[in-house]
Amino acid sequence: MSRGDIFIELDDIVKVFPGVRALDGVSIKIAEGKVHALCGENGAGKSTLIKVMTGVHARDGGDYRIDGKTVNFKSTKEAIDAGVSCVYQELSIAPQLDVAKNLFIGNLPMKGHIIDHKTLYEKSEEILKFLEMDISPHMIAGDLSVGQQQMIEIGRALTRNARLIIMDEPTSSLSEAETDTLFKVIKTLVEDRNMAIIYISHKLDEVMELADWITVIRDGKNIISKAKTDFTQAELVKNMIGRPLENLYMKEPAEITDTMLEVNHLTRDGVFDDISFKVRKGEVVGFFGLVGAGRSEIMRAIFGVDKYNSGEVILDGKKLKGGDPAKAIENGIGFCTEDRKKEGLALKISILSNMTLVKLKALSHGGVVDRVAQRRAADKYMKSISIKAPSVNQLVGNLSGGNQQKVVVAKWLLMDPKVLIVDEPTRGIDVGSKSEIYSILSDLAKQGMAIIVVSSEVEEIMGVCDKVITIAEGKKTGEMAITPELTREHILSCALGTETDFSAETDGEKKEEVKENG
Amino acid sequence: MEEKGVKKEAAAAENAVDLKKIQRVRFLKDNNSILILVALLFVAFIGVDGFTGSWYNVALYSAEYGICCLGLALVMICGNIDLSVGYNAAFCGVMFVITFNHIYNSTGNSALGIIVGLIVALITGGVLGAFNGVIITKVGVSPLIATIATNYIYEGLVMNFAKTSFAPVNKDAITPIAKYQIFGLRWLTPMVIIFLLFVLGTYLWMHYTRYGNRLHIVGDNPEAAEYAGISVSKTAFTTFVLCGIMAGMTGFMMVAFSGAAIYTQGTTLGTFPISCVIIGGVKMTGGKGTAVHVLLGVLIMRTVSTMMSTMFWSTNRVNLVTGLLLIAVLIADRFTSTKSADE
Amino acid sequence: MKKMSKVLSLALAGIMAASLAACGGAASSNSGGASGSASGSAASGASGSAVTTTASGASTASGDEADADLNYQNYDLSGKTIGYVTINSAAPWGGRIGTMFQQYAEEQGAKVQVLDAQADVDKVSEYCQQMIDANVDALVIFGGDVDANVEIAKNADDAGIPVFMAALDVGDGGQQYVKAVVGPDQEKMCADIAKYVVEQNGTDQDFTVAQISGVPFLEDYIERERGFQTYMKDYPNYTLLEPQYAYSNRDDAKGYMTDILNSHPETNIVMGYDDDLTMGAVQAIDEAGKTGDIKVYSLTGQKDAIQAVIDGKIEMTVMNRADNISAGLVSAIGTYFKDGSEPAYYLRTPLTYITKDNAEQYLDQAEF
Repeated sequence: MSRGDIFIELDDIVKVFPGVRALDGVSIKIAEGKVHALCGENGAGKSTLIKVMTGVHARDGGDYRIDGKTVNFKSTKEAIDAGVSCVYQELSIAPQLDVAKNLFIGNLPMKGHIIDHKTLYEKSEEILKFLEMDISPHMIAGDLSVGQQQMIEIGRALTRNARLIIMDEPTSSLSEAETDTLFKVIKTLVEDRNMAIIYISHKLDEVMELADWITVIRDGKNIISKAKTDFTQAELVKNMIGRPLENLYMKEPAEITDTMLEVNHLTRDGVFDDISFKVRKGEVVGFFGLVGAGRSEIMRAIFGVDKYNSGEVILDGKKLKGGDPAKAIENGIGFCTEDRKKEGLALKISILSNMTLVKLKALSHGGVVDRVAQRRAADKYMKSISIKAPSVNQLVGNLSGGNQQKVVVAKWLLMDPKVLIVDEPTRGIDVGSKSEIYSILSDLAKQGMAIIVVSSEVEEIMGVCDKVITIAEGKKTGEMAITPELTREHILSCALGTETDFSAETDGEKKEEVKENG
Repeated sequence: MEEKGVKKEAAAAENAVDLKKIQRVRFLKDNNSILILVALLFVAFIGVDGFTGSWYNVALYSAEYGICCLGLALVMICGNIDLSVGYNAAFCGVMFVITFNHIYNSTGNSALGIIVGLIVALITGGVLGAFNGVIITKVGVSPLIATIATNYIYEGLVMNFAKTSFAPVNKDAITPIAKYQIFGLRWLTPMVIIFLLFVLGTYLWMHYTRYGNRLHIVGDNPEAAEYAGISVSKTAFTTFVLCGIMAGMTGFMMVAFSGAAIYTQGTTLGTFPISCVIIGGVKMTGGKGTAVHVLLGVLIMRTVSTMMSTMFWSTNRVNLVTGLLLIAVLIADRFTSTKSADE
Repeated sequence: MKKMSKVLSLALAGIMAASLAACGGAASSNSGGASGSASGSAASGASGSAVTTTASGASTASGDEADADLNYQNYDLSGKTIGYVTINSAAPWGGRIGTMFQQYAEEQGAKVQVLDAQADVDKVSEYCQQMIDANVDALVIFGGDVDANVEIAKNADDAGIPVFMAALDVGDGGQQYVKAVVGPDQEKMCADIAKYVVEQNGTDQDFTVAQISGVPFLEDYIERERGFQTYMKDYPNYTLLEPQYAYSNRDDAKGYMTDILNSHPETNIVMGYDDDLTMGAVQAIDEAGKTGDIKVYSLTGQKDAIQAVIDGKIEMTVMNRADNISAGLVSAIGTYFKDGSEPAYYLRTPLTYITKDNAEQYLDQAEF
């Protein structure tokens, strides 16, 4: 077989779940040595399609052929053996095993009946080198960063002689550097090893950079499927959401007034150092830095989940006592965490309960929850930030990522916060929902709320913020107003610590005080 | 593009330093039981009068109870738990005595009695273990609840078959397995060697065979295991059966050591194996630990116990100290999380 | 942070270890506190004017049996270290044997090391081994598993340590390793009770006998039941119900008795194998309004049971004094140290049969 030959064909695939026609006649052809991007909003049917391809679900209709022969995978193992491997969005790393065993999970090299440890570690070294990962195969996977773990998952597919690797949002937890490496790896796999890749991502620029062929799925049907060269990004978005999207970032100017949050010389030993900034009413301040630079940790310290060694947090003229999230909430700080599922939401309970979780005390009389008031409060935000769900009683786990994020935001809005901190608000969310989240943030700022947005995407920062603060290795390396003249490269350099720019900083004299305090 | 290269190098350099450190901390953390054991032995030999004369008990009692701890460890590495090990072992001991007596009385051949009795004990253990396995992996009952229940059942079986404790008719043929001093060394008896062989065998099985390797994966991330084509329920079931078989071996050892199947040995074992396994460094949540850790855990627990009875401390205080030690280990484990700073 | 935690964990381990070492010296001082009221009169009390006081030694001529010498004051144990391993010091009777033994032996100059297995039979073996390793001058064992005790006695004997059993014999094949068993003949005690039952109730009418026992596999109860049941076999007009085991829990005994009264309303005799349990049964009978209709027989001789005898709720109980056993043990050990002699294998302590006729005078002598 040679590059470009079609070897996997899916014809008219149908998959029905109780009450939903998840796939309604999807057809795709996969060619060797090509990157095939699969685009669509959350809930469009991409995940189901992958699960049909990898043997997790059995199809209810249509034909699935590899090399012209119809296949009916009953398990992931059969799919893997047939050369179809998948890197799932949810990490399936075994965190207590070492890197080598994670790479060769379920597929350890054997010498007779005995595991060949020598080959295991040698081959692992090779794969790590190929992935440009400077780690030992003896490292315990749980000690690696999320990005490194993601790379291990990709490496896993390489150990299986895969002909097709499906990557579901592989870059959602990768740093930029890791993303670059991944792209390089993908290009090598495709060009040198003649592998096929199905690439699924919400990041359209990635899709445009990588893909040879793009298929858009919406509501379980293919909408359009053609070569990348025939697509424009706008056309792609239009096909995905079913309507043109004029402006992804709808930042409307808001009136910026008094200082709401003031952070002075905040330090936590070994994590972040001497962080000072101000956020004013109506202002959206972006925090940008590499994963692990300390952005989230600063926010956690301000909110009181983590402790800090020195410095102070002043909210609306009042100094906050550190280490007490309950007090912070009471005083008006809202914090939408980075990992929705881990920290922000209880998936097995309803939208209603999730939304009113922090507000429960105010909605109760003498320890008894006022159900009517609770319902009224939740309904208000269901409408105002348009959470798409049949009712407030829907379990949060059944919502799409975008709607889950809205529930998190609503949860905090119920508290009428003076300051809202949102950490990676759009991670793993489709384009349509992203745009909605941005417009919610913009509205809130217009109402006079002070907002902090933590993000790893420069475009997002530039699109929604009035000001950006860059953090590198726990130190503040820049504070710049977002102006048309500000370049992406400049922000990135500051975030790397190679440049500094405090042009938007209001009070430079603060620097001197540090030494006295320290 | 230029700044990306710079960034990557910086990140890589920083990573390398960090990872080395993590690896070191990780090694200490995962093997802290050896430090505990060394510290304990140091204190015992230096500070406890008479320990030099009685430490061989550590070896003997470790061997007596150690094998079922190994079995339990397999179950726990897979992320489950088995609280019925004690009475499983006790019942296997009873079955051994019944079989041995029957054969000895009819043939007068004690070697045959031992062999058949041992086989019956192991099969009994395996069957009881399989019963646990079916309830937990096939029916889907929580292992905690299921094995609490089966522990009651097995206790009932013991009481039913052994209204009183009972001894093998010709126990002089059996006790040498526990008592015969090889090379005249008090601590080296066939029982100790059998235990060490079990430790070695289990270690090698988990290290070198594909099946043995599955336990860690299944315990660590069952979903990942399923995606990799490893049947979680089959693997878990296997560990329950193995645990039962090892409990059977312990039942035999207990008869050989005390010269009788004793009804309360099930209670004696009770939570002891779990403590050993945890203190040795196997994680309650699964995915972590080797046979060597179990060996260390058993030695630690026995050292504490022997040390204290050498000082004529009674059970209540031994329990108190053991409990504190266990808590200390768990606290230490909690605070030495090696997860990198971004968590 | 990480480094600190590591240090912390080591420190914890160190502290634990250090505390073990530090406490070593104090370990032997855990003598019981219950040396109060009845102790002084222990030896003489039982040999008073009781009508039915017997010592089993008198009834058999075998050289294997003799009366225990309760005058422990005549023996010198100075300089000796004696290991005492008990199955459970929390139970009143068994606990008192240990407490009094320690007191008497120490009065005579011995050093007593006590290890309490807290009802864990297996621990008895372990602790005895520990005593052997510590090379004590003599080893006293109370309770444990009879068969396992054979192995222990053998080990002790191999090490040249004399073994004495308190109250309970060692299992078959172990006698050769044991110097003496000090205690009453429990089997005979219960046969005597059975005899009294038959004497009192006659052989004409039919009787249904309920039995409330302690633990099915503890040797004391096995011997007691054997004594009673064997004697009763010869009297077919007495129907014995299956014994109910209350595992030394008075409330359970009461519950079992209530059940029996419901399922076998014809029950008219109750044999309790331990006063504490019998009192539970008496309570159940009281609540069922059957006091007087049902005759209750028991043993141990504890205060509330003797009071019940006076009140007519119990027909008979047998005072089986723990401190007599303690005294007998000290004497036996003393004799052995003096000249290596062993008066007899079974050293019997006296029993006092308490009925309505003599109950008043023993009320004050009860140990607990």
